[in-house]
Amino acid sequence: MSLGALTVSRWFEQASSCLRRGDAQGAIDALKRLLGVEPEHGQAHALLALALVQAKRIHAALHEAKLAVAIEPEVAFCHYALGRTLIVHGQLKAARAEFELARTFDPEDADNELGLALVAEFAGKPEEQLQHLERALTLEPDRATVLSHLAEAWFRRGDDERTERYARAALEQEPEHLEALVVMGHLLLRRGQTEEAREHAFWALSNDATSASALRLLVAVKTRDNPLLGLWWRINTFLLRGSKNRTVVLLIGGYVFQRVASLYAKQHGFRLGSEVIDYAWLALCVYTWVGPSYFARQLQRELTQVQLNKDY
Amino acid sequence: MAAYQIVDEPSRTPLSHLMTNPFWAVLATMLGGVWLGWSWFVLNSLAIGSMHRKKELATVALGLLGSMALTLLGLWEVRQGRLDAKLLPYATTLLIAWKLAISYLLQFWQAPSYELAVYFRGAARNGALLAFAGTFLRPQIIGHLPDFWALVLS
Repeated sequence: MSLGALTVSRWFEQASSCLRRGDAQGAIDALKRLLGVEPEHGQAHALLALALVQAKRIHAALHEAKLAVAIEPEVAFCHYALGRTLIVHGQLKAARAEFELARTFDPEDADNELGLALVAEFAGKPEEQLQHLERALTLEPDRATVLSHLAEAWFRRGDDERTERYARAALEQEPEHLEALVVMGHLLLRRGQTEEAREHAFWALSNDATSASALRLLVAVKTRDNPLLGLWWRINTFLLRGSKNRTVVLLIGGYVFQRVASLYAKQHGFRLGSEVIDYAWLALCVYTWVGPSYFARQLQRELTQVQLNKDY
Repeated sequence: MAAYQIVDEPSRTPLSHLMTNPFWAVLATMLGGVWLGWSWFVLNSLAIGSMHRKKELATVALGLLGSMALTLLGLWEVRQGRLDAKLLPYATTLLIAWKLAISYLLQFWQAPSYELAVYFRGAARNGALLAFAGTFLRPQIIGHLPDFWALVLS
């Protein structure tokens, strides 16, 4: 093997390892170096697409995933990466087609079944989701990721017993498995064991301080503790869920509604009512202005208690 | 070694040192008017080297055309006597909502490129002072414009 090929494979390994640890930026940096040397490396483009999805750079991710498939159309991993990218773009039919194509190239890879399960979940087909997860379990019965996906699926269905069974099985395979820790934390929180749930969030964060799902768990714990923070979190998730156009419509709709209600009240002699509406709107504006920094401070206070794993 | 460039990475431009968080441009629109906010968005788009530059510039143009159309329609309705003092505040609400919608859209498109630009180039300029100065600049600029342009650009 030439020195160049060695370097390329070392960067690829480094990127894969970064991505496994949740370090998307580290993966992107390693893959940029790799692609600087070997721009026609299809699997590197595919891995870069997955890293970009994790970094929420979804337009660039789609570009990279399409490049990967164009360069290596017969490699399952490239189709898998394109499938994952299409999911975040909301193109579920196209994503399903890519995962099915990946499965024909590599029928033994449970990741393709997990991808199909994700498509089924977003398409609102819970039975189909479970079928794919069970198939993934048949392919890789001892894999913690498959078990934790099953735990999550049962958690969403409100089946605490099965959730616990699969989450514990995943943690037996990999005691530090992040997603299994998170789903276990959510289960504890649902049972009202707030302190234990917090410990699980800390445990998950000690392995990956940037994990979105672990941070979400911690936020869920905090919002249970602090109603003011909970209100901010709910407003924020309601406003930012879905497309940007939806957010703009909601914001402008809220403004127009408040203005029209205030004007109408004033013109019909309800001066006090008009003032109440205006002040309520002002309070909401101030709250949403102050909210993010208050929220960040609260979260930061919690995060200072996290003891990072020495391997992180 | 030639570095691989990902499509959404902002390109460096001669105006790069002028980039600011697009949030300040939204605030400038609210406090100073669109003459300040939208021209700031245009400058910021060029300074950031935004991946959506063409879309952002087209949106500013669309925003201006929309403001002009709504203002013309409003003034015509006033002349026809269909828009009286009671209905006028509702009509102006529509114009403000249009301007805010365009500003939010511009901010949403510009924010990801801005964050990437900060990652690659480091800290940006703080736009708070200029955004708040918009409150004082507004009467100075808008007050000297004819009614039509004052409504379009306020």
